[in-house]
Formats: sequence, structure tokens, C-alpha cells
Amino acid sequence: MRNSNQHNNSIAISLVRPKSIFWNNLGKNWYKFSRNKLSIVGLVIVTGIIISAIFAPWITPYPEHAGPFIDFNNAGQPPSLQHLCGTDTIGRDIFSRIIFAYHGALIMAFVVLLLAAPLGVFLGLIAGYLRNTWINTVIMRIVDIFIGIPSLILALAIAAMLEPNLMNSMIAISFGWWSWYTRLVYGMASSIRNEYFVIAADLTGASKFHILFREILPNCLSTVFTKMALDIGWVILIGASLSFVGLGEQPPTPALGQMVSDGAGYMPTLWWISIFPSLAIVLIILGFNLMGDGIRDMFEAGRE
Amino acid sequence: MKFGSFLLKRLLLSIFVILGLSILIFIIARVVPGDPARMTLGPRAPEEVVQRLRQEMYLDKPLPEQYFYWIRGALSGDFGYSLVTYRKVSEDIKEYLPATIELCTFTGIQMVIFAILFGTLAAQYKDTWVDNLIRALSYFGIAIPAFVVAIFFMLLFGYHWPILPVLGRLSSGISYPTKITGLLTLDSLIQGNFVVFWDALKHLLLPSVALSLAYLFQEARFTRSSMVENMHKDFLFAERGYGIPERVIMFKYLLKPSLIPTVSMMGLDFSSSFANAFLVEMIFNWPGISRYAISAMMSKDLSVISAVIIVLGAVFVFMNVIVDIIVIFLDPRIRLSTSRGI
Repeated sequence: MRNSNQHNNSIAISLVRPKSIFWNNLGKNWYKFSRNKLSIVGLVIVTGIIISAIFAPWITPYPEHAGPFIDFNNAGQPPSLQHLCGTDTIGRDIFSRIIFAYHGALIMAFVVLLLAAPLGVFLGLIAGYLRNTWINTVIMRIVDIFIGIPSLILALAIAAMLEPNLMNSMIAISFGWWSWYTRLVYGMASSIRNEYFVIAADLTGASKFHILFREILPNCLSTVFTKMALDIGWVILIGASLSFVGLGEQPPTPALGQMVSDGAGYMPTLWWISIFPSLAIVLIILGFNLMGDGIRDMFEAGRE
Repeated sequence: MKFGSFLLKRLLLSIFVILGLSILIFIIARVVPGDPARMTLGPRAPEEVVQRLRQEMYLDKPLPEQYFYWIRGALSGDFGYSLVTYRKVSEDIKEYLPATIELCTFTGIQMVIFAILFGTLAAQYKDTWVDNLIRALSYFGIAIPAFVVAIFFMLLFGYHWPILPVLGRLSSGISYPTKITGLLTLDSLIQGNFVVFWDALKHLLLPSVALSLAYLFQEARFTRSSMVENMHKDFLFAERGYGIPERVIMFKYLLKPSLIPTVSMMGLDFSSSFANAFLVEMIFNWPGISRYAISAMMSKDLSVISAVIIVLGAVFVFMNVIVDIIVIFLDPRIRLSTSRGI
């Protein structure tokens, strides 16, 4: 009896479960992604930034300037061929520091999303599947609290209460970020659970675990990935804001926001100290946003 | 009746959210390492004095009891003393909050006017250069943080093209008007002091534009796509059939229902502009609550941080209720039980 159940079950699933949503239609997906030329621009920017950040110690002209380095002879140099973006008030090459700061910003974005998204998705699945129970109520009311306040304020408050460093700013941003994923997945899960294939799996005796993670979850993934892609730019923006205030990566390690605020005091004469890091922030966020739009087109083109 | 019960439900939910937030903030503030009593008195204060303050602050009681005393104080407007200014936190907030409210209100007014204007233009001239320009600006608007805009404004208007003031709320020669609301533009208008009004308005311009730019074009895009979506609805065909002029159709029949998603978004944006004001105020030397909070954050002044978060959380929640009410007025069909999705 148990065996035949299992058997039926697997047939039902192979009929309805969307197989790998990405790899099986690579060509078609690439077509959808590349239909908007701006997505390709975003992809190029992002790829360039990721590669240069990974190989920063080898490709930057002055890798030692990312650490505790002082050279007053070259302090406050305007942009030139030797120093593409000029040097700061203690003689460090700003271009090299930007590339190293990208490294931190990327790590931050990926760590925050890898902490927040799985937790949020897990809670959302449970809350959606166990609708009309107290578990659902508890989870969703906690979500209400976290969504009840802007992410930047929450992140600033948490980061301010902890010691200021990169790790703690990542914790501070993740602290409320999961709640958006919970709300997103909750909505989807509570409607998918009424679909026939879930009911069928339930009737054939599939376990709760199986229904949650093998039936409902795969149908939420494309939306979750889209949100993650669109969120990267946001996380980097909030991370830059935290480090601008002094609550992120501490000097001498470079961070984008911190470089902008360092130069703000020398504004009219040594303008390049904050203007180039500012442009760097705009470039990385723009790149990820454009790429995110392309990924959304890829997953959602059929739903327009 | 239905509206009343909906409003009541929303208000109850708001109170619940603020209470939850206060518990959250309180727990974090107590969990982080460091003894609040010791931090208040400094490292060289004798142990028995610290002990006494600890008792006064109920720090020797269990956590739930501590929370009870803290929230009782907070409800009557008593958030304790600031470590930085040595004054009552509530007095500091009363002094600094109006400047931020003024800044964010101006940001909000700009958002409403220009987002709707640009959105309507983009929808009317769909797929022309107007539409494309607004689309391009919206991409940049999302990607440029408010503090970066502020830095560029500083460079541009502070030094290269000094036509607008970039620091503070008033020029140095002009004295503050008598405080009524704390909003300089409003106070000076009430007192009929147009010199101060004009000066305050000029000082407001750059910070508020820096703040609103990030939101504005995104909202314009929202308005545009919602209008484009509604353009082919049957009710518009009917109205064209009646011979109603195109301009009236555009603003009266098309714009109004299309504004619903924009309004929801504007509410969220308005509240989150209070967070971005943190950074913009730093650059423009604006004496608002954000600057006060940042200095508290730097010195780990936990009672100030908690108080500011609660106040801003309350603003945010309150705004959401107002947005819900506006949305109901815009869309009478709206089903009250499922008022807003996200």
C-alpha cells in the first residue's frame, strides 16, 4: 500500500513539477533576457565589477593602498594617468580603493541575501501552508512589525547598537530583510496549496516536508530569484548608506560610502575624493538594477 | 460603518506594530554588551553611584519588568536622558523633529506634484522622447542614493554656481521667527514675515530636491504604467463615445483610478524619506532629528536611538493608515477587507 502510494506520487509530481526552470531553456531565456538591450548593459557592468573585485590585488595599480598606507608626497593629487581618480588626503590611489571597496560591497550583498532569503522563504512557506493556524498568525504578525519600519532606519539602529564593522552591518541589514521574502512567499504558497497537484500529493499521502519543499517551493523559486536579483542593488545602497554614516567597514579598509563622506569635507578643491566613489556607487547599483530587470523579464515575460 | 470598522482595524494593527517594534528595540538595546548605567556616568564614577543609578533605571529588575517601566515612561513621553546632550530625550526630539518634518513634507509635496505631472506626460506621449527621457531618469533615480545627489548639489550649487544656500535652515543674518509649530516656513507665514519665509524656502530647496529625486521618477513610472494599462479600459471608450473632451478624460477619468498604486508607493516613500534624511541632513548641516540620532549612534546613546526609532516607526505606521484612507477615497470599489496587497 505504502509503495503504491509512493509510486503514484512520483508520477503526479513528474507531471506537474516544472523541471529546472533555468537550464532547460537556456537559449529561450537568453533571448528573453537580451531582448532589452539595457539588461545586457547591466550584465556587462556587473560582470566587469565582479571580475575586477575578485582580481583586485592583481589588477589594481596600487593594491597596497587599500590597507594602512600613507604617502604625504602624493597627497591630494588630481586625476591623472598615474592616478586615474586622483589620490586622497593621505596619498592613497582612489581608483584602487574603489575596486577594493567593490569587493566588500559584493560580499555584503551576497551574504545579506543568502542569510535573509532562505530564512524568509522558509517562514513564508510554513505560514502559507499552515494557514488558519496560530503559527501563521505568529509569523505574519512578526513580519508586520519588521515591515512596519523602513529597512534603512532599522539597519541604522541595529548597526549603531553593535560594534561598527562589515560583519555587523551585514547582520543589521539582514535583520529585517527576511520579512519581505516571507510576505512574498506567503502570498504564493497560500494560493499554490489549493492547486490540484498539491491536493493530489496530499491525497496520495505525501509528507508535509515533501509538499512544502518539492511541490510548493519549486513553484515559488523564479519569483524569489527575481526578487533577489532586484534586491542586490538595494542592499548595496543601504550598505553604502551605513558606511557613509560610519557604521560599516572601518578605515583603513575602504568602503564606498565611507570614501564619499571622507571627501565631503574637502569638497570644492579636492572634489575627486568624493565624486569618484559617488559615481562608483551609482555604477554598481545601476548595473545590478538593469541586470535585475532583465532577469525579471526572463522569468515573467509570459505573464505580461 | 464599514469604513469605521476598517479604520478601527487598521489603527489596532498600527498600535500592535508599534508595540512590537518597541519590544524588539528594547530587547536589542538590553542584549548588546555594555552597562547603560556605567555608560551614563562614565568609566571613572564610583561603583556605588553606578549601583544606585542602576536601581533608579530599574536595571536590577528582570527584563519584562524593565520593559514595563520603559514603555510606561515612553507612553508619557519620557525616554530618559541623552548621554550626548545631557538633556531629556523628549525635549531634544521636540526641538529637532520639526526641522526634519519640514524637510520631509517639502519632499513629499514635490513627489506628489512632479511624479503625477511627469507620469501623466509620459503616458500621454507614450513611446516618444518624453517617455524615454523619464524612463532613463527613473533608472538613474533608483541607482543614485540621496546622499550622492546631495554631494553633487554641494559641489554644483555650493561652489561652482552659488545661487542657492547649501547649509542650515536660515542665512546667518536672519533671526528665527517665534516658535509656533517649529516649521520655519509655516511660522513665518503665520507671522507675516516674508523675508524669513523666502529665506527658509530657499534653504529647503536643495535638501528636499536631493531627497525627492530618488523617489520621484520611480513614482512617475508607476503612474505612467498604470495609466497606460487603464487606457484601453471600456469605461474610457464609453466616455469618448459621449464626446467628452480628451483633456477631461485624461485628468478626470483616467488619472484618478490610475493614481492608486502611486499613492500607496508615495506613502511608503514619504516615510522612508525620513530615513534618507539621516544622510542628507548630515551633508547640508540641517539641524534635524537625523543629525541628532547620528551623533547618538556614534556614542552608543541607546535611549536616544530607541526613542528615535519608535518615533519614526510611529510616523511610518501613521502614514500607512493615511495612505489607506486616501486609496479608499480614490477607489470606491475597493474591497475593504483586502485593502492593500503589499
